[in-house]
Amino acid sequence: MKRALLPAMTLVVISGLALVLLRPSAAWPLIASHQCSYCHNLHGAAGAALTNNPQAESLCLTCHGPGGISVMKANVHSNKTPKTSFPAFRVTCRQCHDPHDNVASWTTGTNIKLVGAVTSSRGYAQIVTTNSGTRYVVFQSRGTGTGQPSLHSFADSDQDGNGYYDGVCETCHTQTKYHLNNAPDTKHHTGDTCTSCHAHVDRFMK
Amino acid sequence: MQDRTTKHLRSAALAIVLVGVAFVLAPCRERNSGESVPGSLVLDSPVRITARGTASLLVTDYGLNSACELDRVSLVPTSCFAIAGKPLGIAATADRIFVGNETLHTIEVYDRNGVKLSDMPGTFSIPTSLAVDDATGLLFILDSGTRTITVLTYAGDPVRTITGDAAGNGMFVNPVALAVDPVRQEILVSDYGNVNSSFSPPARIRIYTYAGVFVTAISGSSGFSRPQGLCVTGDRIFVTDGWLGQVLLFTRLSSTQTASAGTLGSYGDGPGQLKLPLDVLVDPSSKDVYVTSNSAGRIERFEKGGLIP
Repeated sequence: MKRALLPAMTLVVISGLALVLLRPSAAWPLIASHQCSYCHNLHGAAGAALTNNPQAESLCLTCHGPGGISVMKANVHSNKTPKTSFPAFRVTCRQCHDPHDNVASWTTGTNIKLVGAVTSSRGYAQIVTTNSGTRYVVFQSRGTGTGQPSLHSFADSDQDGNGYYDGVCETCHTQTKYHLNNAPDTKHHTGDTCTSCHAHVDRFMK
Repeated sequence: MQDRTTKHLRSAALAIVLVGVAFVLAPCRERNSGESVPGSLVLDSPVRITARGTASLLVTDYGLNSACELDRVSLVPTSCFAIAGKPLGIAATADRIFVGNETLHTIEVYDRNGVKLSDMPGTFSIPTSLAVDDATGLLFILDSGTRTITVLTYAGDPVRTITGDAAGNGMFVNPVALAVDPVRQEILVSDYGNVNSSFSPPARIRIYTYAGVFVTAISGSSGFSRPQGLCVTGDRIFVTDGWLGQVLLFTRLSSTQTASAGTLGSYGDGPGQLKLPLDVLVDPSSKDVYVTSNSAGRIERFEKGGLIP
């Protein structure tokens, strides 16, 4: 009886581990520059284990902010600078990005730039928006400005005809002048590279 | 007569349309270097800090694309001048201000009023940190992109290039900021260490002679991992840590020995707290400590912070 139990228990443990490691939403570093020890320290090393978004934001910006070692410079999405009259808002890193991995989009592709802060029950990338609840987000192309397709870019105004305005910029926007998440917009650089003018390093503001 | 009037009206209308179109099409206009920044002056993204005489501070602002002068008491900007790009390192002499421009990869020279004079020779991938020594007339430039320190005279003549001691603790891995100790004639460098390899080697503060000879290092393996801007006064070394939200203090016990001597501040947005601190300056006479709290968009002052035993 005992002989039979041992292999069975081993099988259960191995299956459990495989399930944890292979499930689509597992925390699993894909890109070489985001290894575990970048953020998570063991055994008394400096810094907390990233228990909240403000801490995570500071950590992201130690490399991606001014003076950081990454060439991909960024800042949070906000209108802190007083030149704009839009109501104050602030979107921090992990509201758009999952630092662990690129995530599958609901259009069966895979998002780039770690876009997709949460995943649906089927493992598709989503963003918890301020005014529109939890919505799908699709970001598979950086747009025509970088020589890539206009489809599935920052704001493609439903060029793919799926009835959903799900570009990484437009999926949240409800009060901007262009590219809202509930209407098509072909007047303002549809499918183009938004960051050509609204740079990430400048809070996505112009 | 009517034809002439119509013609004039058409020309005027055409001019208005052309001006309007030009205004609409003008892509992402940037201000010219040295142009004064209009409107109310509020810091947005302060990065590096340096002294300007005994009453003022100079700060680069990555969000405003400007360098700003601040009153040391109010910590409010009194004037800013534009940089045509993202400014990082800053250093000042009696009559000159040096600014590292990350966008144009240049070291720009301004007069004390913010009027651009020239560029220093050479290009710099990421000119993240600058320091000057008036006694020797040397400008030290840390390029974190090429992992080199370039030493120039104030006139721009090359003196030497330092790439770090190739052996052990002295090797540059990911250097991000520097300071100089004019008394000991030493260069101190903050280095993130090898973030791609489980921090092996770990973050360190590395110390070199002006000639580039490695002296000693302070390991961050048990205390810090994102050291940024630093400052030396007497036997004290002050280092900001961007993640911890603190200023770390060390004491030089001998030329090669150091000891931890406490901290200033804590992580956060409130008074006495720091969010992404990137540089530190100690007033040698008052011992007040000034820190650029980048994400909070302000300068934090720790009165007499330099007197901590």
